[in-house]
Amino acid sequence: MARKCELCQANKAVLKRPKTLQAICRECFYLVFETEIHHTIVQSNLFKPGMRVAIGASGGKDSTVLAYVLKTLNERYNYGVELFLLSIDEGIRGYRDDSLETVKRNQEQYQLPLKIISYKELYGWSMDDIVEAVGRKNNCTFCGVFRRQALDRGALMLDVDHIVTGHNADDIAETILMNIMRGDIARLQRCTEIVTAGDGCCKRSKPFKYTYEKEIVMYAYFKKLDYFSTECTYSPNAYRGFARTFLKDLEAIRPSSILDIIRSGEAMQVKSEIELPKQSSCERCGYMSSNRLCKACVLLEGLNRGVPKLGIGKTKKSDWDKLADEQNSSSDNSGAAQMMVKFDELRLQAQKQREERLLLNGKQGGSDGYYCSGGGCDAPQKITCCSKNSSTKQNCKNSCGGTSDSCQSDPIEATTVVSSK
Amino acid sequence: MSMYHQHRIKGRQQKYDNVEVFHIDESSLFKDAQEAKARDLISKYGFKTITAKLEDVFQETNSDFFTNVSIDDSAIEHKNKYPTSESPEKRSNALTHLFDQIKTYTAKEDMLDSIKAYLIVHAAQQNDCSVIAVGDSATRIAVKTIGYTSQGRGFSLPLDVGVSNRWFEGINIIRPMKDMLGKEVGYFNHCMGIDTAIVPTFTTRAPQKASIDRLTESLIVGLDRDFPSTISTIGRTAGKLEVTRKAIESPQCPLCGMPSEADSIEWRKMLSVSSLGDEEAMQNTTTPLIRAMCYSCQNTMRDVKPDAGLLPSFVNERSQNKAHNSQSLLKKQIESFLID
Ligand code: SF4
Ligand SMILES: [Zn+2]
Ligand SMILES: [Zn+2]
Ligand SMILES: [Zn+2]
Repeated sequence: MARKCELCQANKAVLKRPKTLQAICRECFYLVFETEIHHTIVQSNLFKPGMRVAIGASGGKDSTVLAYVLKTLNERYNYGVELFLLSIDEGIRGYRDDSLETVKRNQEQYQLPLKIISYKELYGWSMDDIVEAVGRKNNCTFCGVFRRQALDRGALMLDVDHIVTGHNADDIAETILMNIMRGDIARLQRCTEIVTAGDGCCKRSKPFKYTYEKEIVMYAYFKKLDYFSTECTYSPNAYRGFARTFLKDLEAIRPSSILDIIRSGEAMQVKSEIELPKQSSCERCGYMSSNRLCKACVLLEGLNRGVPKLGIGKTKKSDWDKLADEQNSSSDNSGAAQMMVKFDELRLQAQKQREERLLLNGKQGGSDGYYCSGGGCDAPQKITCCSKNSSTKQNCKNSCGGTSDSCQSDPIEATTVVSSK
Repeated sequence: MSMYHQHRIKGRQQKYDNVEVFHIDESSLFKDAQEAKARDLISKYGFKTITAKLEDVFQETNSDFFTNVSIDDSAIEHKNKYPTSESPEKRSNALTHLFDQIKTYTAKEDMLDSIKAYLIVHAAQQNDCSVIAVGDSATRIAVKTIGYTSQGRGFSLPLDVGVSNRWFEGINIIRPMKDMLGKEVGYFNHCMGIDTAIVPTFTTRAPQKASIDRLTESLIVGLDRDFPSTISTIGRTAGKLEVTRKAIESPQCPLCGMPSEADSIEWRKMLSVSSLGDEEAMQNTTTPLIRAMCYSCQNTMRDVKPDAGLLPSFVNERSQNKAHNSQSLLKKQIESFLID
């Protein structure tokens, strides 16, 4: 006789759940998998109604499952968020071109708007070009620095409040171990935070913080989700190798280990208010930076000058300053970076978009109602309605008792107004 | 291994009035323990020696727990000191039965560590010692740091591996050998002609993946071979972790004796949904004793079969005695550790 599911006691058990080793059926697996993510979202207050949320989508298993699950949960639990797909095209032949095709199919399948930002367009260099110039040594440094900024630009272009990424529990547990072994106490105390500040335009979070990698693969497999499973061509195999192996071995000894490590990491965490970094911005591109030029601009300068070592490893502060001064004095700054749209410009555009959306929604406001997600509103049930550009008072759709003019926040600065559905 | 001997030092600062050696006889669990040799070696130190057996934790009263033994060999006999109601055989059986009912080596090691930790602190309290010096080397501290982290023990980790741990009332646990590598200690002993007794563990001669501690040890030893600074770097990380106010103000875990976070059960249930029943029903399946334990000890208890019989008597005692330390007194002792 077939083994019964340990959870519902009704269906046939088809899998052994990696996190708990329970033998369960497919339906129960979906349920517990999704419920744990829902718990994470609610517990950490990740979303508020009306938020615009971009999913960093690579076409790989993590982000594909994330997009699918968030869409499902958003409908099931009425988070009231608007989802977008945001992809970075690093320009890696045989890897990113194919995985982007997957993202485009996901866009169709999940009916989510997609924005693709390409390194080549943004920086004038694709990763293929970069590897050709610098070899296979520091390619991931370039890629990482460029990605961070590209994501923030994408977020501004989409005018989202929040970027979610597919980092899973295994990634986080591994990072905790690595930070202990590296002696990086500051990172150790930060790496378990579920929400981190982005460039000041939006926050980033990891809804899969407690989700096991194996279960993500299982979920994608059973749901027959369309994802791309090839590794990046330039991925250095040895990177983090021993920590990964150790983690896998730990998981084999005690399945809860991954969760246990995160539990430990959280206990070591220094509770910090998520504050926007008080940093100045890059003189060239306007991106946040503690130096006069941001890391991306320095790396780019090195590439353009044919000295790719620039900005790799430790660079003296005086060198950075010198670079910045040279930039200011030379009259024809025609490097690719100079053509990069400045962040201030992007912010302005985002604000404009916001105003337009407000106006559009304001017109429909009478029937759809108003929500406010910023300003003084911090919990869904406390939401007041606001629409300063609407001439008539509106009753709150959330039946909080407020009217459209009871909201203190400036709709253009701090609010997103969306129609209820 | 010199780590075997838990050196208890009485006194303050570097000058101690009196040093006593505390030794735990583990031979009821490990048949091939070199007990006689160990005692012989200890007797050569010329300090007053106190000995306890692991099974001592299975008795009704623990008032007369330990035998004070002089250097005189013949005096290392303590069976008459126990209440007659419980025979040494019964205690020893309770001990082996408990360990037989633990399903994993990881949990066996944890249980053993908890028992030993209790015995050590108890001995210090009974003998008016204000300082306990333990022989953790840098290597051992690195293994503990990674291993404890992997078992969800992050909450009490700063106490578990710190230079100075004042969690237990009136006692400071210090680790004077924290900067010496395990192999340096071995080399020192070799050069000085110091003989050591081999201390067997559950995973002696077992494969690498036998337990978390064993796995962690091979990771650290391997890393140290390729990247020689690994151990000291981990030690530095551990040294920088601060004992939080939250930990200091938490109740004591009845099993390991360290601070226990209140929300462990709820946290686990929220992120590892393992039943479809409603919350209430799930809560009832957790006994108050388990609920009082720290997250990591709850992991251990998950590997103990339900018919394990008795837990060591101190587990119950601690769970009944809610106030671990009188808070004000404690705070005074740890003021310098507190961060707001
Ligand atoms: S592995 Fe590939 S995609 Fe990832 S950072 Fe390195 S180059 Fe970029
Ligand atoms: Zn089922
Ligand atoms: Zn810049
Ligand atoms: Zn405990």
